[in-house]
Amino acid sequence: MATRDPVGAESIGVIEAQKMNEEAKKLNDLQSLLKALDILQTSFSSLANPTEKQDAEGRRCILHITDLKYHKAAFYFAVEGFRVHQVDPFVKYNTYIGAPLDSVIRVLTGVLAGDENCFGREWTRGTAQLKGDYSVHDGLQFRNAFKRIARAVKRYQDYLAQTHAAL
Amino acid sequence: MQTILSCSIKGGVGKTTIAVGTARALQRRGFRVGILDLDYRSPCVPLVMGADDALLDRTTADALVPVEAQGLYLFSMGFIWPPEQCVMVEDDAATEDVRQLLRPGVIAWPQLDYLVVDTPPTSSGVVRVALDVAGAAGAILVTQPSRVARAATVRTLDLFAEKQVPVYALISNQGMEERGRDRDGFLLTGQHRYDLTDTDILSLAQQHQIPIFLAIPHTRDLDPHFDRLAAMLVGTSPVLLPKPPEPEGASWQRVIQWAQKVSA
Repeated sequence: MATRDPVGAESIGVIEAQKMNEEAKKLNDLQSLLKALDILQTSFSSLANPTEKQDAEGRRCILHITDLKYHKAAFYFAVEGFRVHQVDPFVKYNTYIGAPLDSVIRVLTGVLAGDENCFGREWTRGTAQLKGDYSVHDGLQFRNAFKRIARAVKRYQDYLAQTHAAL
Repeated sequence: MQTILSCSIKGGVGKTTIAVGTARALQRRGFRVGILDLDYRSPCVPLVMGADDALLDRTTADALVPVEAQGLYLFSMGFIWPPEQCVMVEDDAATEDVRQLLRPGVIAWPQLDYLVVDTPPTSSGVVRVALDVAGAAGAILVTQPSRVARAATVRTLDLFAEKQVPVYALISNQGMEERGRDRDGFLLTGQHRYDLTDTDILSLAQQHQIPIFLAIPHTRDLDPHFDRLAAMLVGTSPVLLPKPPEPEGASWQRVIQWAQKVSA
């Protein structure tokens, strides 16, 4: 005869499964956000002026999602110039940025909504932690890269709004 | 380049005002001056300099570029943090960032004669790192003639002695209301603003043989006071305060002998 688990392992299992699904859903969101960001970066990098391009070259930050519990232990992204893209964990980098998944999603959602300060907020709050010999410099470049993309998104949104209004 | 720190472990005594005023006065004397704001969590040099709208958007490949305002070169985390937001970075991370900002080459300072460093209050890691790295040059200790500020000044002097930071000056800030000047240019002062007087702070300066003492009244016209301070700074060497004495071996031995006698 089947009995209920006396220590409640079954119910703990249900909660764990829920949390795992939640994490998986957030990771899916993250992948979609990155895909959207990639498309935007490709479209907008041509809009950057030579100084901006020069400013953003040569440094590489690695972004580590620190709080994944049920999936791959870490996701690493390199920030090079105007591009944020996924890399393997053993890539060489100048600055390490560690942040929880929610914080990364907040930043990417903010950038795609045209919010210039979304990375600055996570940095200031201490949720994104920057480590490295030039972390202030690199964090600033990282923030500026996101700012430029957010500005471009905003310009594009304004353009769309004007076009719709004209129609 | 000579570095001068504006310090006190007590907040609200006027460290930033003194740092900016000193930098401007040195600039008026023809020197090229930079200001490094190390108040990591509550930076206000940009605001005092009227440069709070400036953004640190430019960097070179591996260095931060200071903002130029009114002929002075400024670096402050205030140019990085969003102005409406409270900074909640952990102490360890803040200390490491400050250590980084003080490393040569991280900020691309132009050729400077003086770098005036504004430090935050407390004796936290950020301040200790500032004193360790930049403190060898010399500090201006800022206080007010009140019992609370005097107590903090005594502790700050102990910090300077422990860290072997040479001291240029002790400033008693805003102790009196300034009522203007008489026909001969002498300062007319009014009521005391705190529970002690500038003389009480002067006695502290004399006790520690600090070469410069200056009482700056509560006034809008601060430039003449800072010009005086800058003139004195240029010709003065800072003094090292003696380290607090260690207990002597002989006295410990006497205590042991006494304890042995008592127990026998």
